[in-house]
Amino acid sequence: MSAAKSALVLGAGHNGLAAAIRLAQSGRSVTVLERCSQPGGVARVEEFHPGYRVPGIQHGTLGLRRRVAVELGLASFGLRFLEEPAAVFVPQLDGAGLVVRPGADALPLGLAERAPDDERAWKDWRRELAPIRSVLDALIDQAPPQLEDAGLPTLLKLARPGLNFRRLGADAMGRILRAAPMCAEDLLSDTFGDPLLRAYLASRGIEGAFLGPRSAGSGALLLLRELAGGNGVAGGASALTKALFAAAQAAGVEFKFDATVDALVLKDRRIQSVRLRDDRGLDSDLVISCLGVRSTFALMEGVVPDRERRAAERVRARGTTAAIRLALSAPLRFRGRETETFEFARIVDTTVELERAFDNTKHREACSAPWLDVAIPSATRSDFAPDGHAAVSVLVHNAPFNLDGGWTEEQKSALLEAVLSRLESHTENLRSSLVASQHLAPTDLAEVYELDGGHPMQAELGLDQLWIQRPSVHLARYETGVAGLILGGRAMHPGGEFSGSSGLIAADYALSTS
Amino acid sequence: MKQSASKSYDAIIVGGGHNGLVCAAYLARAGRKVLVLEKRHLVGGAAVSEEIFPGFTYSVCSYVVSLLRPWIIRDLNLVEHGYQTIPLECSFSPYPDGRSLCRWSDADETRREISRFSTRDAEIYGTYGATMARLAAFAKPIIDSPAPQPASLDPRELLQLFRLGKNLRDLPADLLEQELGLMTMSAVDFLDAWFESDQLKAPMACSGIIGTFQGVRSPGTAYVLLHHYMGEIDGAFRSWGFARGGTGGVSNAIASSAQAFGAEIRTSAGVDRMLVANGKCGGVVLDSGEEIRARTVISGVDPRLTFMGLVGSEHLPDEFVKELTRFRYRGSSGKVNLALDRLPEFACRPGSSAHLRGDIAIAPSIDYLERAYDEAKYGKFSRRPYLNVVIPSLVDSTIAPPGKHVMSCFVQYAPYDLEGGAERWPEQREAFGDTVIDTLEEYIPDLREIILHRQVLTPWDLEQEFGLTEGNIFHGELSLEQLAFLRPVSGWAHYKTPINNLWMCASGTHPGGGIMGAPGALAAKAMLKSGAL
Ligand SMILES: Cc1cc2nc3c(=O)[nH]c(=O)nc-3n(C[C@H](O)[C@H](O)[C@H](O)COP(=O)(O)OP(=O)(O)OC[C@H]3O[C@@H](n4cnc5c(N)ncnc54)[C@H](O)[C@@H]3O)c2cc1C
Repeated sequence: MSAAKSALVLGAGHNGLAAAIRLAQSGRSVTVLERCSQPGGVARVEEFHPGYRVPGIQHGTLGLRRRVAVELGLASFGLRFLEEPAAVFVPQLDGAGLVVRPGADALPLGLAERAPDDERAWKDWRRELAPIRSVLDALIDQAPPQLEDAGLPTLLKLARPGLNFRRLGADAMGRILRAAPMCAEDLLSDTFGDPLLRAYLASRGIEGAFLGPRSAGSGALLLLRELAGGNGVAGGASALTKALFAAAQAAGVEFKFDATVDALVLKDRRIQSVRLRDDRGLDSDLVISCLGVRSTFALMEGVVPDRERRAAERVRARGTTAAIRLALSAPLRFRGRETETFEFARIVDTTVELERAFDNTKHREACSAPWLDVAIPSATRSDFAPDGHAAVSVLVHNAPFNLDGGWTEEQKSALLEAVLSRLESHTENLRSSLVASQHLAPTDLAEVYELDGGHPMQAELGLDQLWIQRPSVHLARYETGVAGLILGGRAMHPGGEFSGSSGLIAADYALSTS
Repeated sequence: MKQSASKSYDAIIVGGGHNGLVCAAYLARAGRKVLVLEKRHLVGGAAVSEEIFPGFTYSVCSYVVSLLRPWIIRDLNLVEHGYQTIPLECSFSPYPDGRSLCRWSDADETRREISRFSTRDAEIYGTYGATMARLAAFAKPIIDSPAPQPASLDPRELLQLFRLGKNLRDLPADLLEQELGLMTMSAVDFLDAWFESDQLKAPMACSGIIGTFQGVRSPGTAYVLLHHYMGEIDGAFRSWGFARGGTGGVSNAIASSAQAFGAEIRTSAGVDRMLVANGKCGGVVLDSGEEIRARTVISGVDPRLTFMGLVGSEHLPDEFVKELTRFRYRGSSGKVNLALDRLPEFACRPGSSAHLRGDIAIAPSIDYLERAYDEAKYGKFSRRPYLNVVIPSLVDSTIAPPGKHVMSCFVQYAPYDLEGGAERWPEQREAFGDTVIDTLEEYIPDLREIILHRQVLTPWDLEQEFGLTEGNIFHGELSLEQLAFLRPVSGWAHYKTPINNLWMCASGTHPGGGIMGAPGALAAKAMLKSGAL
């Protein structure tokens, strides 16, 4: 080997940063190319109104795997896991609602009063599901197996999770296999009585997916989130960005900000160089793209492998999320728990309402009662809003990218109004303290964050786009069909909210094969 | 209590549906003394023909056959006993804009038809069919053998699983991708990857929803597309057929075969309950009070009716009861049978009747189908439902007077749980029937004028009259979580039950519903093999 081999990473989001650190750790000289002027990707801190900030559109860090933090040595850069997941308030119009710790065994606060039988049900459910954890851990933390080239090694590898399964015993096994293709609605109505708890959990099965609670596959996503989530880190997504960035710099990674990639230049089915918007060309025989899959293929210049290109075109990424940001002159006070401060709230009503809202989305219609995922970063961090004020980020989950008639200003205002009135019904002081607002339709998110289809996960979650099929059978091994050009973004396994996991696994994969 | 002690049976089969009859025939063929008890005045269950209106014979419930296993037809000499099928010649779909599409068994003709909507789709349609046929060949062994039990440590089971795994490995990469897609996608998403024309995709997608409470966009509906290519009637392109004399013809042939092997069949002999004591079943009590004993009892009715209705949950382990209550039925379809004065004429394709010799799908667009589903989710029958229509009298002269016709309309969605309760169905029955006629009239303007008689079956009627719990036509939804080793309950997917000497043999067991005969035959084989009989 001559001087340190180079590598390029596209995108300074969590996956890009993770990939860069890993490559640098292995001795590559790494440059990260980022279109914006700061790292973080969808989690980059944005000032949407003077003095008010939000960590992009990433609300939590529950998806950060311990393995990622450990292998990248993030503890040395100030990263600290919380003792338990931050509380999420699920308000109810006439009542005290629920306070849940997402993915934790802890009994949701308020459940015992609302539905006494559910206390027992909750404990049973957590106990019954616990064994799945180890299987999921094995699946999430490594590259999915290659199904295509036959051979004993692959077969054994495939069987390994299966063997684990068998050790679980027939009962647990039957329950798990039964739950996987189910819809959240059925899974939950088999288990719990409380409609609010069911609605909250159902929302965890449809987030980031083009599914309603009655769609098969929403059960699997619900289980994935309930069982594979961690506790999250102190300081949230922006603290994670900071630690990753610091670790990358310490590892010698070089950063080029405000550097927009214009083309990926291919030759003889190999990556040759990356051309930037200002015409600068950067040569490298290893490029990890943490952009969307479609975007990555769109940038290729030269002979693009046909099978992979077609697979990329077929990846489904129909965004259904809009973002609303609110600057408030006072902390947000929720009805039912006026005296408490929450960093997170989820506004859902019943599973039927979630299903109806999805009907709208499916038919490309605006929804008058979308369900809301609310984060108030200023509740725990002083640098997100002026003293005594609040910055609120709302992810609105029933906003179809392909809205009939398009996202006109009128439609956006209507969406803002729908969100405000929904929030208002659950809070004491929303309108009176509203200083400013910003709304980003899915089409805006597509531009601001460079998202395929405006989808925050770059590729829908769902049974057919997970694991060996994430985002497609032909792309699931991080390869593009172009030697040296590797995919490492959130569209890749395990992707989604598993911050940094795809980048890390993709880098490992690239290193093991190059 | 009367007691018919005169005879002693090796097995009593409760329910003379086609699966009960198949099971009886196999057991009788193996020399066992078998009695079939059927509640209605005739056998067949959901595969039945009845002359409801003088001169007109309806296939009251099921209307086409495809999956009846060829080895069963051979083993039971069904052809000798009168089983005969007439292949469907085409699939016809009219559209509201006056256009229409007919897919024929002739590939060139089909290509020409499709090319009016999309030349790309026309080109690829053949490849799609060939791919699906290859995949179907891979899936077939699954419906011809007992469900593999992945949690078991029994080496034979593991071997079988391994074989399935190996089969999977042997699939070329392109097929593997399709296979995975089929198992996880919605019918629409799967078809989207192949075709662009809504007019083609909509009628194709329908096979994914028949008998389920799912929409064409619901994940998990794609795999049913395979069914269309698994049929065994006269070659790949003609995988569906009419049974001569209606689908009751199938049941009658099986009944005749069973009797020839020595089985006894009693109709109008409804079973009131099973005789269960100390965890053992020793016979049944009829509605009349008559008690009949046997070494084993085999249930040919669905799991809920079997265990909650005839056994009683007090005899069953709690965990089993819990799992049984989770097994989902929620019927979603109904049926309208019409006697017609003459052949109906579709406005979009008048004249020659060739296009009416197959099945007719009222499925004008994917959005139409999805909206039909959306309405049903909230307890209403679809205002504009999906219809699968056949006119078997065009090819079978035995079921209608000359020049007259019977028209069978399978209707979806008709949710069992109607807003306000399932008991409201009787008062909604005629309105439901009207909706179906209104829908058809948009394509057949003078339909009302030629209707001589109409029979409307709601999910409620299917439950009351045919014993189908919640009107589910397959004895429980055929969703992925209710198939194979999970049908009907994990750990009890091999026809055995927690009650000694009580077995199951109908559609609520692997491989599930449809006129397939496989559950009945596999159950009989399992019993004979285990030495239970
Ligand atoms: C409307 C409709 C349309 C369908 N269309 C098709 C189609 O086109 N093609 C296809 O392949 N499949 C179709 N199916 C499905 C198919 O008909 C069924 O899955 C299949 O016939 C079920 O057979 P089985 O023997 O398992 O049960 P069943 O046919 O349900 O038999 C059960 C029998 O038990 C009897 N019984 C009930 N209670 C008692 C009791 N207490 N004592 C004694 N006897 C009792 C019943 O009367 C019945 O005869 C359709 C079903 C319906 C309802």
